[in-house]
Amino acid sequence: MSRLKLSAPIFAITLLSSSGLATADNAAIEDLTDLSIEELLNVDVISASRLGQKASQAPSSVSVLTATDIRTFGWRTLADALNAMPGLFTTNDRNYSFLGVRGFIKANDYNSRVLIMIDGQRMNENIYDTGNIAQEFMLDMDLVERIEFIPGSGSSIYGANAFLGLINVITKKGKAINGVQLAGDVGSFDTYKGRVSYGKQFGNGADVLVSASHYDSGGVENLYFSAYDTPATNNGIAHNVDAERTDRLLGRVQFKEFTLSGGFVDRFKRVPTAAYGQIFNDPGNYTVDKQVFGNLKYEKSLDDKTTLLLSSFFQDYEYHAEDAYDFGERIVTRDKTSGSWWGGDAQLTTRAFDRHRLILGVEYQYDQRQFQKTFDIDPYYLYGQTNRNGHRVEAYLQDDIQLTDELIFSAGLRFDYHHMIKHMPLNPRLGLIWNPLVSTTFKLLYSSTFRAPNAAELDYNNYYFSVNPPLHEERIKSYEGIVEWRAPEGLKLSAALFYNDISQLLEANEATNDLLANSHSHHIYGAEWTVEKRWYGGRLLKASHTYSRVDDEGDHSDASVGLPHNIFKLHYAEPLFNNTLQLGVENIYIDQRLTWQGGVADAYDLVNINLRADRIIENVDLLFGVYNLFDSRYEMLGNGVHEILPMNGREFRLKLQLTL
Amino acid sequence: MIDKVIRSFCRLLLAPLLMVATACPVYAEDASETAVKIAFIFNFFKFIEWPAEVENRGKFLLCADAEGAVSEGLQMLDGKTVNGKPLSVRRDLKGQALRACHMVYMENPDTAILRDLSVYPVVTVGDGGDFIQQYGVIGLVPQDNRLSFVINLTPAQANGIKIRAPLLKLAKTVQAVK
Repeated sequence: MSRLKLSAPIFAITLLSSSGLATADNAAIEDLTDLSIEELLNVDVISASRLGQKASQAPSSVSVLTATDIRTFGWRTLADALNAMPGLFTTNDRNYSFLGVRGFIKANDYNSRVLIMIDGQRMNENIYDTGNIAQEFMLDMDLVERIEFIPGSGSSIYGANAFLGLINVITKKGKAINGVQLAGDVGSFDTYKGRVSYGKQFGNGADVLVSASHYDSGGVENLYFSAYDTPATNNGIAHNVDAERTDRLLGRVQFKEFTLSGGFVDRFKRVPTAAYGQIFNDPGNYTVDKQVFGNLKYEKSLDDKTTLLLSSFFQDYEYHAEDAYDFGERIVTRDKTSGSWWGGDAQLTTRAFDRHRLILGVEYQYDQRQFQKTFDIDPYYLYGQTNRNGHRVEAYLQDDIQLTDELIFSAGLRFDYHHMIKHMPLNPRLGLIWNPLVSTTFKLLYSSTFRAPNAAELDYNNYYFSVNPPLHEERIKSYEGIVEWRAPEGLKLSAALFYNDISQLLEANEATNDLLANSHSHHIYGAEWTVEKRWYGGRLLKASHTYSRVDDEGDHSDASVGLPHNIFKLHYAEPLFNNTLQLGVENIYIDQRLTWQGGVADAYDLVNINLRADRIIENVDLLFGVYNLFDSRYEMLGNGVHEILPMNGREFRLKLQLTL
Repeated sequence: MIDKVIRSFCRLLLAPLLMVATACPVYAEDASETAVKIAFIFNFFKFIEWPAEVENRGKFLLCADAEGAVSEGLQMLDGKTVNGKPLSVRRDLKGQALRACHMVYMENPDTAILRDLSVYPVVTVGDGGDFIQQYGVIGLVPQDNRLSFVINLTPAQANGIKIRAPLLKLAKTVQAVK
């Protein structure tokens, strides 16, 4: 038994189900005629698939990053970009990256409590519910038009996994590429990336995008782990076992009301940590994640007030991993996991009733395969093998009622049937939005939602302990009060107070005798403020501070493990030399965090700088970034035998892009 | 009503405070493509001089060749004042009737119509870089996630239309395509 990993099951990727986010809403066109030509040249053009309404009227608080931000600050992965969002922070264990959201983080949860979507389609897979965000994420960052983040349990239309928040990544249109594009990156630690894309909008309106890219990193040549600092284990040096490779494909054709899209990602990572008793410094420890999706969407304006959205999808996820153990001889254990699921959804958005904006929809997903298997390869020994399948049906209704010119009341209700829980939850959502002045908005929001135990969690106890206690869904009630002030000339201020009441959290620890059980309640409260000022011409200053605390009702208090009480972010962009260069400076401060062992991971301040030169010569864009400028030895929480994992020092990246 | 009050409040108090002269809530770092196109078209009027006989008409006539998102959106420019003259938007003109317009937005560029218009003092605006290769004057082109424009001077100069230097400077490219 000791050879089995004690970690919660490892991850995965996945799936779809488009939900309400990507709704076109042909409400009035903004009047930008007061802007000058110079200003217009600096306006980011966004496609219809945004939140369907002005952010200031949305019954939630939305943070947005654009393609321009991604290039200005040189974010290489979705995790890099999310780390720049107020209230979010990322950690990694030298294999996967994990998101913390406003006072909550569970290492090894593979972001199953955050809904990750691409163009409104759910990507969390159907075994571990993983929402991948780093090199294992489906999209190349060069193909991202916008990233939207909504904190809190935006349950009523966004559905399963939107427990702590939801992230919607919107892909670029072919016309934003407008031709053939070749891009190459070179970076520290023998890192190379190449991409070729073709994008075009044709005269008949058809928009086409196809893209392929390959990422290859040798990783850090020698990594030191103090837990293995003995002569028998190479004095703690893991040599050449940090490599990572990712291949990605994406294709999309949009014509009239139809959009057909598909994507594929295949990521290989050697795992240098040997966190759970694997043979240290053995190149045989690795993981592979593959995911593929296809989606056909039909979006039609039935009249000038009503829009219908229909979509169907399939997804496939595969994870396999090998771990070498020393049981007198070298034995390799293999995890083999695969999932497939398909379904569709329908959504109707209408303003047909005066002063009402009504959204109603249904989603269906069939989990066709949720297969897990763990075995020793030679001699063959099977530890366990499980498979599941079943249906999920979700129906929702939301009505945003314009009570007066200044006041909107939003009410929503969501009903779920889910084959992995025993009853059918009903979750409400309420919001009051008050715009007493054009520049000022107050929002009061309440919502609740749940997260069903995933397939890996349902099989965990049986797998490792041969017992099968019932597991229930996790629950959250989330309360938020927000003030937003949009001043002239691009100045935005906002402040939020939040409170999250989480119960029946699924955890395995001493208090539960290492069984996975619905054990704890967490009460998380905090405050967040942001300031953003954009100048015409490209200068940008953005700052945010998030403070959070957590109370744990359980007797074994580990709720605050890994949590920084304070997060401070500063972003500054400055155009140089008559706008030929854009300088982007990023400063991320993360407070100290408690470790599982009761120690402390030090606070750190990470500074990244990036220079971009668009059209430095005809058709050529250049990007140069220095990450961790001051070569800080910043620390993340470890897992297994590692209390703390030191991260990489200073890194460089040079990127060249050619558009023909 | 309240919006209006706020707007003038912004203009009066906040604007001087921040040393800016534009109206209060118009700042945008992102917007729909249609909105940006419409605003570009409006702005083009500020930088273009038509030959005297056309320029001296009491109003600017802005036309569209078909019903589409941009054409419909142009309606919101109707009645706005630019360079001291009101804009009048006409979406019901076809073929030769377009010759009387100051500016025509071509939702569905038709080479025959464009060739016909290319000998009249009409500024044609359309989508894409190819637009100015087929007798068009200003093409709206995507550049990364933003919108820019390209200018073909040939038809403009041939018909006595002056495009002022600031606009030429801001264009992505300026060509003289026959």
